[in-house]
Amino acid sequence: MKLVAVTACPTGIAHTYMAAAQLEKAAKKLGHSIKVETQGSMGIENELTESDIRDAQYAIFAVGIPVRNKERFSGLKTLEVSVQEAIKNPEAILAKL
Amino acid sequence: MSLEINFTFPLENGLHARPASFFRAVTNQFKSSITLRNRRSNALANAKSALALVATLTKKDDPCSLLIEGNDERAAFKAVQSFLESDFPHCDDELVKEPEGQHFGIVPRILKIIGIPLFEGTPVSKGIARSTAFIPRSQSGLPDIAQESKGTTAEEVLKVEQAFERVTTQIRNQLLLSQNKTQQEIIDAHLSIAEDVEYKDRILDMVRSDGSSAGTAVVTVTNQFTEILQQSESAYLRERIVDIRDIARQVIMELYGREPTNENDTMKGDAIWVGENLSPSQFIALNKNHLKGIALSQGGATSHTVILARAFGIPCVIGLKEIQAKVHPGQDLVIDAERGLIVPDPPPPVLDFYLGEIKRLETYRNRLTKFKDLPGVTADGKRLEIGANVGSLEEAGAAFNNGAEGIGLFRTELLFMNRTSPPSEEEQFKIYAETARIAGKRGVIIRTLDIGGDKPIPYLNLPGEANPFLGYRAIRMYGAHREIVNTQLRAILRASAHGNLKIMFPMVSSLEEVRLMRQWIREIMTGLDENKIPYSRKIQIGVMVEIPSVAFIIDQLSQEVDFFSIGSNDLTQYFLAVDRDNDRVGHLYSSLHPSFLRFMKKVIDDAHAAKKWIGLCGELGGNRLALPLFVGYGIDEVSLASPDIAVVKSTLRECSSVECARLLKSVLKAESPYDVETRLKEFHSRGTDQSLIAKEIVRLDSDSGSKDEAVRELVNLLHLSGRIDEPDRIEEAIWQREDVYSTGVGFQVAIPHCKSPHVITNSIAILKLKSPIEWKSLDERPVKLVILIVIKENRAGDEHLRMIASLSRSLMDDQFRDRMMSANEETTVLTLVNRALKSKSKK
Repeated sequence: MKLVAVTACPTGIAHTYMAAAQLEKAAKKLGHSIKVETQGSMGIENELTESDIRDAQYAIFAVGIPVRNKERFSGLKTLEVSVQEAIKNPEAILAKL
Repeated sequence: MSLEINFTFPLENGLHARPASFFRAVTNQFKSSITLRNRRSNALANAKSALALVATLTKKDDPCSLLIEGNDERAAFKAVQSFLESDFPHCDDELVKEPEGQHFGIVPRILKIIGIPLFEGTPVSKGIARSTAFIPRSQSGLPDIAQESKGTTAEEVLKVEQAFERVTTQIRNQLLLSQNKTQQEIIDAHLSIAEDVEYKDRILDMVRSDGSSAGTAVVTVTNQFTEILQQSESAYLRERIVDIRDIARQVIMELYGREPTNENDTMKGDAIWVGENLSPSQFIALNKNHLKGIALSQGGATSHTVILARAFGIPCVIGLKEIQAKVHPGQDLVIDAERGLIVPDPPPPVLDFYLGEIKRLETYRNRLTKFKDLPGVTADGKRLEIGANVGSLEEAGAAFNNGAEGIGLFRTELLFMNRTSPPSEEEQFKIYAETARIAGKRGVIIRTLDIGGDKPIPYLNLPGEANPFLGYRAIRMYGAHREIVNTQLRAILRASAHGNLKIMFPMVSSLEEVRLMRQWIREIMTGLDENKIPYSRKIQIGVMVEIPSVAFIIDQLSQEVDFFSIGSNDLTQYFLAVDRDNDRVGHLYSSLHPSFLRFMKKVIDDAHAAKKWIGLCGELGGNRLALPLFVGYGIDEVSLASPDIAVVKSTLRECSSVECARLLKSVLKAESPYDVETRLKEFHSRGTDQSLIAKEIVRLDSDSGSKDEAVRELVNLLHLSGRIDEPDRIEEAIWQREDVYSTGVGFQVAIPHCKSPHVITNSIAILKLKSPIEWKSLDERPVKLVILIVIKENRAGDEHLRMIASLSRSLMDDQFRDRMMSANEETTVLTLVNRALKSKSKK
C-alpha cells in the first residue's frame, strides 16, 4: 500500500520524530511505502504534497495535538492514533489498515 | 524663657531606637531640659533619653512638640530645628523593609511527594545546612531574682551604679574588639540603651523610694518599657524588646555575679539555633563555627540578628510560627534558607536530596574559590585589576580573603555616622594603618568624607536643602569643616607610612577644589615634618569622576592628580538627570545607556592620554554582563563588592581582549540601553560551551533509585555545568511534560525533556543507571538509560532541534540502542551520540 502519515507531539522535539522513525521501519518491514510529514518545533518538515496525498490509500495521524492543514486529507481514508501507540506498536497499527 | 518647636513626625517606621538615638545625640549636647510631647497621645518624654522617646510610641504623621527650657535654649532650639529639617527625615533610609511573611520559594518535588511535615518561613540569609536542633530554655523572660539577697538602700543603689558602669564598659570593649561593621552598629545601639538616662534614673528611683532590691527594680522598670513597646503596632518596635531585655540580663548578671549557667543554654558542638528569637549579644557570644543555622519564630528582616547572620553567612529562616514548640531539642534538622524551609527528621530520599544540594552549593563555591586569588586577567593575558569597595576595616579583611587585588574604594562615611562626635585622629589612624598593613603591597584608596543632606550627621549641623544632591555636600562643605577634614587627612597621611594608601576626593567639579586640597595636604605634611612624624611623601592623590563637568577638564586635572575613579552611580544620575529612587523616572536610570557608555570612553581615553591611572568604583563594576566592556575600554581597574570577585575573575578569563574590543565598538553603536543589553547577553552566551552534549553531563554509573532522583541528578549535572539556572523551575517544567504522558519510550530508554526560559544553552544530559528504575514506560519495562533534553524557550535554534530530531530517530534503531547500553565509557557515549545527532534520516 501507498501510505502517508503525519506525526505531531506536544513539545515537538523528540516523540514526533521517534513516531516517524517507527512508522517508516514498520512500513518497510510489512512491504508498504510511506512518506511521513513531521509537525514539530522546527515547523512542518517533509511536507506531503497534493500528489503524495492523491497517490496514497491511507493517511495515518500519530498525534497528540491537532494536525495542521488537515483539509489536505479530505477524501482520503484516515486513521488517528496516539504518538505513544505509534512508537510502541507501529506494526499493529499498519496491520489494521 | 522656654521655646517650643512644633512638627509632624516624618518617619515611616515611627520613633524607634535608631531615630531616637540620633535625636538624643543632638539633645544631649545642651544643658536645657528638652521634652517631647506627642500631641495625639499626650505622651511626654525626656528627649535626652532614647528609651523614653521610644516609649512614646510616636507614629508617622503624629503632631509633636518639643519644649526647650534652660540657659542655652536658643542654641538648643537652633540645633534641634536644623536637625529636624535636614537630618531627621533621612535617618531611617537604611532600614530594610520587612518582608510580607509570605513563602516565596518552591517546595521541591521530592518533599511534596514524600509528604513529610515541614515548616515554611521566610529565608533572610541564604544557605543550606543539616544539623541538630538546639533550643535554648530561657528565651523571652528575664531571670528569676526573687531569692536574691537584699542590702540597705544605699548598698542597692551602689550595686545598680556599679552594674551599669561595668555593663557599659563591657559593651564599649566589645565595640573596640568587634571588626564586623554590622556587629558594631548593633553594639552601639545596645550602648545607647545601657547609657540611657531615663532607664537608669527610673531604676534608682525605685530603689530609693520603694526600697526595692536592685534586681527587682531592674526587672520592673525593664518590664515597664517592654510592656509599652509590646503595644506598638510596629513590628520593628516590638523586636526592640529583645535588645532591652538583653541589656537587663547583662545588668542582672553584674548585680549577682555569674548566673547559674543553665546547661541548656550553652550550645555544644554544631547545631541549628531554634527559638523565638536570638538576641544580638547571644549571637555575638556564639561560636560561629558551630552555629550552622538559625530558625526563628519571630523576627522581621530588620532584626539586628538577621543582619548579623547575613554578614557572617549563616543560613537563617524567620517567621516560623512557634517553631520552638514544634521541634524538639537534638532533633535532626535540615535548614533550607534558599527556599525558606525547615525539614525535621528528613527521611533518606529527602536527606539524599539535601546532601546533594549542600554538595552542589559547595561545589559552586569551591569552583569559584580557585579563581579568587588569581590576578584579574583575560584569556589572552590582558590585565584588569579587580578591587573591592569596602566601608570598614573588617570588610577590607574579608575583601582580601575574597581575592581583592586592592581596595578601589574605602568609604569613610561609616566612621562618622551613628555617633555624637567625629572620630578622633587616633581612632581613624588605627583603622587606616591596620588596613594598610593587611593590604601589604596592594593599594588602598581612601575616599575622604562624602556626606550630604541625605546622610544624617548631627554634629555637622548641615543645613536642610531642597535639593541635597545638587547641593552642599562632600568636598563643597570641607571649607566650613576644615578641622574635621584636616583630622582625617592627617590620619591618612600618618597611616600611609604603613602601606600603600592613596587619597581620593569626592564630588570634585573644578581645578580650584583640587588645588585647595593639595595645599591643605602640603600644610599638614609640613606639620608632620616638623614633628618628625613619618608618612609617605609620594602618597598618590586622586579624584572621583562623578560630576559630568569633570569629563571635559581631565587634561587640566591631570596636572594636579595622580589617578581618577569613576563613580558610575552618581555620574549616571547627574549625566541622565535621573533620580533612580524616584518611582516615576527610575526606569530611565541605566549605566548601559549608549550615551553614557560613549561618555565613559571619552573619560577613560582622556585619562590615558594624560598617562593617568583610571578605575571604576560604582555598581556598574559588579555587572558581569558589562565586564567585557571594561576590557574593551582598557580601564585599569574595576572595584566591586568582594563576594563577587571570584565570579568576575572567572568570567574575565573567558574573554579575549580582541573580542572585547569588538564588542565595545558594536555596543557604542547601539541605540538604546535594551539594545546594549541584548548585545551584551549575546556575547555572554557566545562565550560558553555551545555543544549539545559534553563529558561533564554524562554519568554512566548512577545510583539513582527512582524517577525523581534520576531527574534531580540530571538537573544538577546541568546546573553545575552552567547550562541552566533555576534548577527548581527546570525540574518543574520536566515534570509538567512528564505528567502529559510518560517519556519512557520503551526499550529501557526514557527521554524526559522540556522547554524553558531558564535554559542557558540547549543540552542533552545522559544517565545510565546501575539498577533499572520504574518509569511507567510504554512497554512497561523499567528504564536503564535516561536522556534529558532541555531547550531554550525562544530562539531555540533550528540546528539543535534538527540534531535532537536525528538523535530521537536513532533511538528507534536497535543497533544504536544496544551500543549505548553496552557503552561503559563517557567518550564512547559521546561519540555515539554525536554521530546520531548528525546523521541524516535514511530514506
